[in-house]
Amino acid sequence: MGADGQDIEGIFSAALEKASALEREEFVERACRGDPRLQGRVRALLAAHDQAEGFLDGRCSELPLTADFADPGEGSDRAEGVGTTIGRYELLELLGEGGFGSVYKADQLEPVRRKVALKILKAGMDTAQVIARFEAERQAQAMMDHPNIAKTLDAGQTETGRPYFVMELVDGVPITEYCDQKNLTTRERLGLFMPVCRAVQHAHTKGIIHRDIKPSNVLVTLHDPDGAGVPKVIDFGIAKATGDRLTDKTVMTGFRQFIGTPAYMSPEQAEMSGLDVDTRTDVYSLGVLLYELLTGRTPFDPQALRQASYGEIQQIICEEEPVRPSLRLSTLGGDLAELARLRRTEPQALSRLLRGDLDWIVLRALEKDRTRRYETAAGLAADIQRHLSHEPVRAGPPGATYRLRKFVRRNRVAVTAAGLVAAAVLLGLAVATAGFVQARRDRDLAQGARVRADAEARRAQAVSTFLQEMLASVDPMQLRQLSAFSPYEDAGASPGGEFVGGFSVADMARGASAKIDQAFAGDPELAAAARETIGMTLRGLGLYHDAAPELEAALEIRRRIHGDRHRDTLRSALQLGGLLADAGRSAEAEPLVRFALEGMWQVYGAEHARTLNCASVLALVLSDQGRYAESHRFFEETLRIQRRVLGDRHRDTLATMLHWSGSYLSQGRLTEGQALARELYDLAREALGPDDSITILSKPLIGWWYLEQGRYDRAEELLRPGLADCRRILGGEHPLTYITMHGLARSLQGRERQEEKERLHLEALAGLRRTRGEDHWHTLSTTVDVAQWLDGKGKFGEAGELYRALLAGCVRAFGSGHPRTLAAMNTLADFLERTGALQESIWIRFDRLAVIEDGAGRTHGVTVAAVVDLAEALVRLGRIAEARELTEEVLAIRRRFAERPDADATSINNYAWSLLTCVPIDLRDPEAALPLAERAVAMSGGRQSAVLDTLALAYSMTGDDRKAAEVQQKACEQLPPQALGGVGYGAVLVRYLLRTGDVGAADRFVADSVEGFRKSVGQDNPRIAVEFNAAGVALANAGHYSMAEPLLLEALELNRELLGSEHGRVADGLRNLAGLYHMQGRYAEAGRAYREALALRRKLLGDDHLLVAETLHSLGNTLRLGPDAAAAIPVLRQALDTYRRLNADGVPAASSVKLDLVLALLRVGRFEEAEPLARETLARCRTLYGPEHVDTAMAMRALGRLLIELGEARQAEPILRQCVVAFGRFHLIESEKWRVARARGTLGYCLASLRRFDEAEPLLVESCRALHAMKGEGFIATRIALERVVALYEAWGKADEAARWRAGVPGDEEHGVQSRSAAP
Amino acid sequence: MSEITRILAAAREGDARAADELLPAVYHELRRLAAQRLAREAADETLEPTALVHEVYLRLVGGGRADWKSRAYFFAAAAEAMRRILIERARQKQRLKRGGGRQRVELDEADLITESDSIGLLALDEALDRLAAENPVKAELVKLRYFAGLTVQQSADVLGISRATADRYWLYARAWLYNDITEGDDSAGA
Repeated sequence: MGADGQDIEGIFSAALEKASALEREEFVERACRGDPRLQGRVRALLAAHDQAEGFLDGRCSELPLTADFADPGEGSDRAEGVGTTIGRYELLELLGEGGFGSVYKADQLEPVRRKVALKILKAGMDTAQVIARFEAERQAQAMMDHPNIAKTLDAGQTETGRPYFVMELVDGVPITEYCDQKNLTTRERLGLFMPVCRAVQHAHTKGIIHRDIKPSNVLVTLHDPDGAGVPKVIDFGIAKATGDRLTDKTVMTGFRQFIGTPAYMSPEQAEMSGLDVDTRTDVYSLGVLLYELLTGRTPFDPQALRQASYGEIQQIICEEEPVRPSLRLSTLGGDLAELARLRRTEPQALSRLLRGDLDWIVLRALEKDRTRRYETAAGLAADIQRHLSHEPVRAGPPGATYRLRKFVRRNRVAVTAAGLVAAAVLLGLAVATAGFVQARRDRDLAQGARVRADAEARRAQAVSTFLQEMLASVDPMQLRQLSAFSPYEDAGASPGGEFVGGFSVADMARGASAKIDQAFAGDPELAAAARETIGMTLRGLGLYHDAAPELEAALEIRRRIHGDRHRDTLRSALQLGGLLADAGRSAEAEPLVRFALEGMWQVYGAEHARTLNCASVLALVLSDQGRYAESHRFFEETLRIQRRVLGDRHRDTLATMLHWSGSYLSQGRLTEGQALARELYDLAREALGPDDSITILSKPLIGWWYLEQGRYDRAEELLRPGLADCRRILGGEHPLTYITMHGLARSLQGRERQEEKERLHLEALAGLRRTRGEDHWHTLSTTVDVAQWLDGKGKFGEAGELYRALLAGCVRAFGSGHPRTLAAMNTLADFLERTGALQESIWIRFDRLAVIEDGAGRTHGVTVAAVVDLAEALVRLGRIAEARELTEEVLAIRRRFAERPDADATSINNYAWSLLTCVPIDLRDPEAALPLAERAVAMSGGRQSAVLDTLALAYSMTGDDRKAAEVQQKACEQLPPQALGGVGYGAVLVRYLLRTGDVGAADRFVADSVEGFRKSVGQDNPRIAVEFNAAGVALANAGHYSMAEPLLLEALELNRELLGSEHGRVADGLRNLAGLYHMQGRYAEAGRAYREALALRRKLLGDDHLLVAETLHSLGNTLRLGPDAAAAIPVLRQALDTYRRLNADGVPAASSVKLDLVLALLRVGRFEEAEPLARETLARCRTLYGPEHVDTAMAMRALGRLLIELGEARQAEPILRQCVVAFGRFHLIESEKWRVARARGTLGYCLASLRRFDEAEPLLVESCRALHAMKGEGFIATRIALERVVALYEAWGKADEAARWRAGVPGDEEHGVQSRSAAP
Repeated sequence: MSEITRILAAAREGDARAADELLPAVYHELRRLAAQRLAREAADETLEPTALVHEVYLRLVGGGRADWKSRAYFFAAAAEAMRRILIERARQKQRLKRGGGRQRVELDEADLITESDSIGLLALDEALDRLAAENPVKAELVKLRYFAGLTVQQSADVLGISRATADRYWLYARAWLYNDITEGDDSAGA
């Protein structure tokens, strides 16, 4: 059979390889050589193979183990059962069974006859010990006497040797179940929970710790005579008796115990560290129970805990911060409604109820560190009582870091504001170059110091010998490596980070470090010198983490033996400061560098090269912290003296120029910085040669300047060779190499280079993570950049991951309240909003607010600003009620500040501004704001634009546009001409002027501003294009189209000249121009401009890019409104396809394309085609935004209109009524008001087509009047509304009315003047 | 150190008796964990056998850290243990159906659903024994994949064969078993 079997298998397997059945058949016949038995066997197997597709593939997982599995095997050898007697107890009824054993209802026969519960544990426990441990506690147990405790009465051993416990019999259900069965409200749940705390407290006072509190151990009696359930805590002392002595021998027991209920286990229990479990363990478990009672969930997902390995369980319990209860609710999605129902309330109300006190109470009980928990269970109960009686609770909000930590864990997310990106990247570069140069010069100094004095020469020799011996002992090759290691001077040397004979220089240096103490035991000076050399070597390699302890040790030794004013001490301090600056820890670096600088002033004098170098480093450290003004002064002064004392061509002078240029770069001060960089490059090449590090670094620096200006081609020209230089001189694994690589990635444009770009981006990021660490600012800024690029490519998953990594890094690197971290949160929220994760985006905004509030307090300006941000985001998502609530709060806070006797102009202005601009417009109050604004202007002496701007708006909103214009004019005059009257302020002025009807004045203002700006910056300044573009857009939005157009055209031309016609900014300019034409109804021209922008974007970015999809959408929309609406349809479909290809068809922007496609189909009468799409869009909007969002309402309107056209007006009516209700919520939003009116009109149209004229009339007429008032008669919706009113009267047979309306919207004599609130 | 890790360590050192101890230990552990889990979960909770195997593995042997030899020993034992557990249960169900065996009060839905599975499982079990007699490695492969839920690659690692070989073996063993079981049907009629 054996050989036969092998034959069969061989033939079988070979036959399967054959492509066709025929070939297979032939092969089998041939291979079996006429052996019919063999052939039959192989055929049978082959046939079986064909049928066996899928057989066994499901694994046995399709045979789920059900509950019947729990007891066979165990049960079969169970000696105890109903009817048997155990000791004094007769078993009456099986109450429950589980992994622990079984619980019976039993009759106690003596000394008193009563019913008890008897819990028989599984075999396998060390019964004698269990009973002994129980006995040890029995005395204490007996002293417990509390109505909410079911006492454990007795313990013993069955005949089969199993331990059992006897308890008071409680006829009840677990507390969580009880609460849900009875639909208890949150308050009632708290009422039930408090006695549980008190019961546990009672036990604690008797010295009994429960150790296993969980719902199944807290039962509530169901059949109490007065109907109120009484909670009873059961199983006291059992956990202890069954043993948690976690020695090696019993770890299995402890372990199994452990996996039973990890969800309720305290960190100290989970750790099994031998730390004594105390009463606070029960406080923790009570916290978990409370959490579950409130939210229906345990803090950590039991499912996740179950799937986790032992170590992971420990990690979750000991490290992961629980999500606060109110926030947890919002993660429940659809389950929340059910949860709220079980608590007899609404989802929103429930989450409001938990927010604040209850959140903090629960989190306090759940603190990882037990010293931060409530000391006692009674303390927990007392705080709940305080909450119930509306007293302030003791548990406060946890600290900001805590919350942010938790937040980061929960979201694993991050991003930074776009504007921040460039600055971040550039700042990174500046610091990096500086650090590099600094490292080099300090090494030089260290070497110089060594040869200077004889004594030092001896020491240097000793150090050097030591190091060489150390290294040589590793590998003779390395000696060569060491002597060759001078990456800064010898361009041909092998870079230090590379491997030689299996050891890197870094490894060698580390190895040497370990032996220093021994080698220089009697000579601390030598030890310091050796550490300095090693530290600077490591620093030169970019290994900051390794270098820091060396330099710290050197500094410490030198301070000890030389004191603070010794030049070696000072050098050490500067070295360490420079190192910290390299590592992005500038704030820590600053005191060290200042210490060094002060000392050097005294030791060397102010104009000594060394002092100047130190000042240059200080300037850089300040710049890195964003303290540019201070930094600027140091740079300026230092460079001036260096130029004078050392000359232009001195390396130190050039180093300062390099630092300063980098600092300008990080401030975005293009002109000054670039000039400096160019001068530097020329000087350095001449004075230091092409291979000096300064020369090498100044080349990519100029490249970065070009990047900033958008001159990608030139940037690439510099960065590509720059990268090669870096690789050659610094090695492939140097942070600067990766930073340059990142710059090169940024510079690559054009669709054919997208692949290289992506590769470089990812490689640079990975490299920086390796060489700089995850939290270094360079890594983070590169992360933002790469994330945004991926984001643009529609790679949301990857982008999201990076955003998450980024935020986590920001928190670690800068702390929670740092502006960069907050900006990261904001951009993340924007990303999520854009990609449709709306709920999550709101949480993040809430969390951002919480973080700010923690740092600044509720009433601080930045907190209030964050509240305003949040309110606006809520409005965008249609959550008006919440937004309104927040806005009211903002108003109250600002009011309080404005009404204080010592209130300053800013406080008053803030309040006035809020009154004028807050989002729900019914909260606005221009009348009240006006006197406030006047007072603020008077107090500020009429010189603050922001205050004047508020006053102007107040005038305008109270109906005086002339005065508004006057004041706004003053606001503009306060600003330098470069901002075109302040693009924002100027555009608002134009708007006021247009309202007063003085077009000439508006034109003059724009023309003057433009010319003034041109003159002030010079004709060739690249900023002209940027400013004109912004001004054009602002003017277009202000409605001054005729002045906007020439500005946009000029900006476009300038960009073409400056950047070449194939550039992203040219595409942006074209799109802006197209938008302007679209606004004016010049659809044909708009279409042409959009097409041009589209072609350019495709060329630059490839077909699969979100910007391409976006441009297609805009083009489609323009076509839709133009004369040939049918042309829009294929374009919009292309836009949709693009989103689909990017896996982005779920994003809000894509639903908006669908909606426009529906409208386009509607317009050309392709109703049947439109209907399924309309329904799909509506469904998508509903899931995305819920029923109360503007987009949902718009989708309802589109579907309703479609149904009317399809002759299904009856079906349309309920949808349109819903739509009107939905829009009704938006009457408080200025920008949406006209849509509300239009929706009412559509409903009227529907009713009219059902011939219910009397109902239709008020809707149509009112809608038409409102649209007319808001948008003017030329507006397309107004025109349609007017036609419909006319049509209504015609169909109704009211010819007079029809005629009256045909002439336009009649005067308001019958309806009274509608008040018209207007705001810019 | 857990019992199983101790035994695994001993087995790795070449202690032949340890390998024998492993099966009952793993079997016991699987049963215990399953029973415990099922008892503590809601009544409608079910467990996937292969998930259970992996859980026991992760908990007792540890993810990623154990060497391949320990993994091989463990999964070989676990596959066999899970097979025995399932077969035992299937036999019980069969007994139940025939009205024999232990008294059980209710036959819930879950029992009914898995009834036909029981028959198939018993047939597979017998066929697997026959395959093992002819070709133990392939039988082992089936057990690892089917009862322990390992992937082809993982099974190949445990058995110390190449991925390609494992693929080949799998196809053959699957066809063999299928043929054996269906043939058995025919011959039962004959």
